[in-house]
Amino acid sequence: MAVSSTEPPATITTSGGQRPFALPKWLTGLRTAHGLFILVVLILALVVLVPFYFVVKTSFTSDATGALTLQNYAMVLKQHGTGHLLVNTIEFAGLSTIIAVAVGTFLAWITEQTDTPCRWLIYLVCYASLAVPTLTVIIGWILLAGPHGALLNSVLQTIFGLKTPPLTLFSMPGMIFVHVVASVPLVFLLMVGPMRNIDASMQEAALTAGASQTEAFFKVTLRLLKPAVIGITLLMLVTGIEAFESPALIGTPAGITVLTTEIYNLSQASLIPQYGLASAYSLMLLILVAIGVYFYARQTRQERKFVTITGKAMRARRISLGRWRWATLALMILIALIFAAPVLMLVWASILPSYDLPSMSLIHQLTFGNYAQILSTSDLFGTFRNSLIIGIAAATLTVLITAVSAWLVIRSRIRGVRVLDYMATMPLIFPGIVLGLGVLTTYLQLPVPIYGTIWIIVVAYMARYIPYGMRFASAAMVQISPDLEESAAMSGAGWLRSFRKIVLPLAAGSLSGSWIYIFLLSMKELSVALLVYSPGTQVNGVEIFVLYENGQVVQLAAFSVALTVVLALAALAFRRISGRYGMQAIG
Amino acid sequence: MLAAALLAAACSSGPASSGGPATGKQLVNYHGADRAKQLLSCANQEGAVQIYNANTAMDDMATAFAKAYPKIKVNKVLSTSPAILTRIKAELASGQVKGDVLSVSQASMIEAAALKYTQPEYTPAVSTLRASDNASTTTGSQEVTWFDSYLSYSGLAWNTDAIKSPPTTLAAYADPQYKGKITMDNHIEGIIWLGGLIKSMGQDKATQYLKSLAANGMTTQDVSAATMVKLIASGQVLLDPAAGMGDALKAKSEGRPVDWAPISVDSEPGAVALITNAPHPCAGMLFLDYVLSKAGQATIVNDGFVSPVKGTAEAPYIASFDVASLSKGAFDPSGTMTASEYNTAYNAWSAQLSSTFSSK
Repeated sequence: MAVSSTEPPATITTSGGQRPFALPKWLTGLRTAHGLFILVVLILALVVLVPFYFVVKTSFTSDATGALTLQNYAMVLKQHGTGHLLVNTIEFAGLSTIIAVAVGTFLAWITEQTDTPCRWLIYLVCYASLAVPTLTVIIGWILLAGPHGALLNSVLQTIFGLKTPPLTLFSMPGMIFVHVVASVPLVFLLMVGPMRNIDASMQEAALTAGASQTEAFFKVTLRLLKPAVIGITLLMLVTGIEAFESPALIGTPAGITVLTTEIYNLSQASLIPQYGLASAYSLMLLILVAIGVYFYARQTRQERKFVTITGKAMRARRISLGRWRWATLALMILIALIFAAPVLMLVWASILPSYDLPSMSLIHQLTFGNYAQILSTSDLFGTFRNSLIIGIAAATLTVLITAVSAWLVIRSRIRGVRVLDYMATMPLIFPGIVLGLGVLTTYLQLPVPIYGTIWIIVVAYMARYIPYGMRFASAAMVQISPDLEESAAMSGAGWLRSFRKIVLPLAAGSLSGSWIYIFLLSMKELSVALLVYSPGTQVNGVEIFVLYENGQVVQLAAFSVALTVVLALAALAFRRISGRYGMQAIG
Repeated sequence: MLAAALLAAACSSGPASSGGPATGKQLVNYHGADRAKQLLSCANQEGAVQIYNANTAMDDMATAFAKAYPKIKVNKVLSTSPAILTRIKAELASGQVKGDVLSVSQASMIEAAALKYTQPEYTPAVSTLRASDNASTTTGSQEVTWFDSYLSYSGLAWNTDAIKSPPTTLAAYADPQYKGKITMDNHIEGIIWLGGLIKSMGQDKATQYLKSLAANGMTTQDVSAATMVKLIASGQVLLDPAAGMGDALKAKSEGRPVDWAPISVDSEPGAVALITNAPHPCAGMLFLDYVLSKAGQATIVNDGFVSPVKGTAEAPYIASFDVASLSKGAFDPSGTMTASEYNTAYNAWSAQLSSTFSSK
């Protein structure tokens, strides 16, 4: 329905002396911020809370008898609450977070604040990295630095005449390294928006006052980024606690168990899945995460301190690094090589009839047969089409709901509005298989006929990625001055108009980064899909699983390389299109 | 049109007519001489079968079935055993059952049957199975709640380029010359291998032995048995004490540097069954019949597995092993335990495997 701009908006004032909100008539049901808040709570409840309820219920249910019990929590505390499990988890998640946030922030600073040449390189490798299925990138690292028959170890042993492989990938540092490499693109994408929005005049003022470049970076730039850094650190910490692929494929051979691999063992390495125990573990993790979100909320409550986008003209001038720009370029090239190395191993594996170390003697064996095989033996196009529809739908809906949620959390003074943040963060701690169980149970019991269709996967992916969308959106919203919307409201604009005309364009960089990130993750997601997909709704992740379980390593490599190329091109095309419409922050 | 509509109605839920089964549900347990004919007719009317499969080995079987019965659309869901059992549990609880056929390891199948996720069914081909423990047995009944679709044995596999003198006994695994060279999957093959050790050595000796292997640098990996053999072939893994015989010997026959020896052999068969309240019972039963047919078992043999059907020739690369004696000497926990005992023991073996090789 068209909304006439000549009609007077229904201006209202929210309780507690809040700013006025005006609504077009067709949204009179949402006349107040409270109305919008209730709508968002209802949507989040359906997507997040109902599955959460079933997970809670599962944690209090005996796997053997189905009776209500506290036994699962007792078992977690009695048998599995051993120190080394927690120490390993904290060590892995903590160190990974510190390194990934530091590297990602530094890369964002290089690309957004300095005059380093070839800054596009980092965007390219970050998007390409996000496009590579995590499982296969870890296989790439194992082929590079595993204990036996690995390329880097073989080369180093040959050069230095070593008897034993010098690189030990199967170790805690190996787990952390691989997880950091997988995490840096997310930190980078989350950080470029806030980094770009920093007004250069603030740094210049510090320099004029006698501060050095380093002092200006630490005392101005980083302080302005404080809410974004805290939010992203929290996100990465929880992601580290929830990480599975790296601990499972690299930690397990090293004899290192973390909470997620323990949960996996409980839910997978038994004849009858022990989801009660796994859910109890997940809920204990939720308490840790809730504490983290509480402190994040406290830190960012005074959001005006971090505002960098105001109604005044903003200058985003680049810092001249002088000769140091060649050092930062070298660092970018090194990081690009680290990102590219496992993918190059996959490319090599994909053109061999069976995997072997790179060698000139194998040149005559090179073939594109694996690509032909995956095209001929699987419904690749149907699978890709499903993934594409699901990815676009999940990313769009998630970005929309999280943008509104973050705006409400940061702007409104509604009592209890923080509940949106908690609800949107909840799914982060659930291992995919547990979240999938919640979604499956929910939509088999509710009279919503989406089981067996692609829409149950869309809902499951929304639940899985809402926490990421929330962090992207929050980081952007916190930097926008409320003055702009207040001015719009004073001029008669309703909340929808000011949200559409002011908030969304200013947050577009981060929101488009959020969209492409969620889209890329959705295009390769596995653990949730395994539980909720049906014939006709097969997605890329399931195809990867099938090839992996069959031991079809070279075909898996071919599929991953093809998927990576398509997704990387899609991401770059999105970047170009979004750039044309003013969404500059993703590059 | 009218006839088709009547038959469709009969196959879904209508009352039994005189002289033979009229519903798909009744055909599941029908013993009459015209069973095959009625089953085919009803299955064609149903037009589809949905297979919940955790055994990639059964993928080729489903493809062959689709070719043999073009009027029946074959829908497959390939996932992990726990994910599939969870799905069935949720579907049964909500009354929205979508799956017809369950295909998982025999170990998981025993638990699924105990939880009544599968239903009693009659297929005359069960009489062709090699051994009585190749199917669930119900005293005084010809009906089963599952039967084996293929047999599989695990033992020692190694990379012949890297390991010139492989171990010939269990004790040799602890020899320093194999330090850091032994890797095993922590899926069902590895877990049952550990159970076999406990069975043959006793708990205390097995625990000591496992500790000596961990001290000798043995590790576990979170990959499937099929993937392990590919890793052995490419030199990423050097020795695997619980590798599938068929996968390893097939790789050897293809010229890959892999060999296999029957040391501490375990049996890990795959099994199939009709899911309780299957929406396409006739098509499901037709698929189960096909599994034990000559054509169906040809796909099993072609994939490197041993057929559970008497008289089926093995793949040429397996023929050098005496399958009967392998089977006799293999550790097969399902034959000696109840479902509940097996589940308890399996969880204990799984926990011990994890704790032994996750000491850090």
